[in-house]
Amino acid sequence: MSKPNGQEANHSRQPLLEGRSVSKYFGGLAAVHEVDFAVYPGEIVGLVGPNGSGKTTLFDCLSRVQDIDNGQVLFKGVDITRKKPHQVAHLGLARTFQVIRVYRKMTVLENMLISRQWRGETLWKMLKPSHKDTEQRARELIDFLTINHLTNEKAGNLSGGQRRLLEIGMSLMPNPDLILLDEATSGVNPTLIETIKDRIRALNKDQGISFLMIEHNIQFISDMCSRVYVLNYGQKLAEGTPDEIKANEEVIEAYFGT
Amino acid sequence: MDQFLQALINGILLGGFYAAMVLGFSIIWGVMGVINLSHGEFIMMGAFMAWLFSEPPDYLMEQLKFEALNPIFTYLISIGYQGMDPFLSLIIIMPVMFCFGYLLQKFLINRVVEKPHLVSLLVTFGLSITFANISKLFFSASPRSVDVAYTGAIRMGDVTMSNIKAIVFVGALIMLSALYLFLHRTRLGKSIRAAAQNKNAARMVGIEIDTVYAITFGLCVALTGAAGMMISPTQAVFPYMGPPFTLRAFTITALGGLGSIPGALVGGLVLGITETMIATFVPRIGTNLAIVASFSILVFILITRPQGLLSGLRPMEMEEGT
Repeated sequence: MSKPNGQEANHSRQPLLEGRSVSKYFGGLAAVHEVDFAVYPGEIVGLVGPNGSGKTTLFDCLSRVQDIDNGQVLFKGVDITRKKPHQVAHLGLARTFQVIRVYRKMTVLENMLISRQWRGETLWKMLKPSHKDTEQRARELIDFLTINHLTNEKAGNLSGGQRRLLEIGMSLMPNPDLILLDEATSGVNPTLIETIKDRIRALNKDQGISFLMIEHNIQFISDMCSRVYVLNYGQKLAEGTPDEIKANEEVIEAYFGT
Repeated sequence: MDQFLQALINGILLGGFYAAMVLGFSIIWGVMGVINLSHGEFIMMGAFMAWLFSEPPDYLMEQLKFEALNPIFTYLISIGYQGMDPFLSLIIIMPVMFCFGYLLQKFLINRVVEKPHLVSLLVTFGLSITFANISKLFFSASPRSVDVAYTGAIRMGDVTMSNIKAIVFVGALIMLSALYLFLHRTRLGKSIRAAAQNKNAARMVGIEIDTVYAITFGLCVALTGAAGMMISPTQAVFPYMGPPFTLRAFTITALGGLGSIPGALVGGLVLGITETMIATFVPRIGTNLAIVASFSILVFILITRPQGLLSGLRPMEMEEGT
């Protein structure tokens, strides 16, 4: 199995994204409890765990869609624990969602254009159609993601896999440094999974974009990630290379039960 | 037959106004999920502003008995200002209402947008009572009328069409088309639609939801204020005129779908024509029965087609949640 790309992360460097004792509680339930983790520049890191283990909640905390109850999150050395979602996005953190979030009534191109950042835009500019450069970039990304035949199709008419690709494209529009991918392969046919894999590798290798991905597809994780974190009941159960994780008794226990 | 044709034309004209009147309510609901029970009061404010701008200052000074404003009125009298055409006053009403709505959203509504529906319902209900009573304090409860210079009617064979209602109908169509173009052609409009469809995803690509919401609210209040101005020449203007409009807005939105502009037009026409027909053809109690039609249509639609006739900004299968 070929290990991907320029992922030989230099761990002595400052992490791109770092969580320190991140906790999130829903009433008495600890959805995420004192989780420490780090993603270094250029890495592709996996986040696995059984259903309900707190993976998506952790993503929500990192992208600041949910409040963080305890702990600290740093992105590029900046404390984002109390920042707003659009501020985090402006810093260069993007994400996709477990339930695909595309604007179904808009075309693929419109979906891409809407995903352009607001930063530095005057109200007057916002009243005009998108800038030529933005459209150029949107079209390039649509080509890159191999969905150019669907450019003017309504997003609601796309298949699950095509929507995943579109969603990845949308997250790329603001030029992020790190993308949080929430189950990028769920409901996607095997051919398109290969396309997604291939595109993520290219983005990582050629543009140096880092990824933190929630995934149930262990093969996908093994192929893509250099390191994996395992969550169970909101706590970090293990971390290591995909091979280490696959051999870990506790992880096997958590995934397959007794 | 003539009576029917006349009622139909009146219904269509009224429906056009209803469509413009409902836009603000429907878009706010569609974009931020807030059912704005103070919608009618924004109409009332627009209508009162039209009254303020259209009356000569000496008359206002005598009517309002508000000493603090007297220097302004005295100044206006001294420069020979005699009031302006109510339709012309839209160029002041709309920006003022926009700013009012923007600030109201930014400092109040924004705090309850994420809360359960009941909270925003209570807040906007409270606003509705507050606005009505502040208006009573300022303007007293006496009904006012807004006069325009061009009353009269266009006669076409056996049917007539009041000038003002025709102008309002054209104005309503302009508002509907302008809003449609704004939402579909500009980036800001598309951002508003994106926020309506998918709040969290919009945030994650850097769209400032709070700003989008405040602009949307400001815009909707401006449109509603304009609608208030439009209705002012044809009905009495008084502090408690709002609630029947809120009720109709609710019915039309349920009919047409949340935030749907074509839906607002269809819903407005259905309600306008129904009300006029009932008022014309049901003897004696027809006029009072017309408002009952609103309720009946609302109940009927909620039972048979709760998603509305046309799908709007927020398709039902795309509910928020993470």
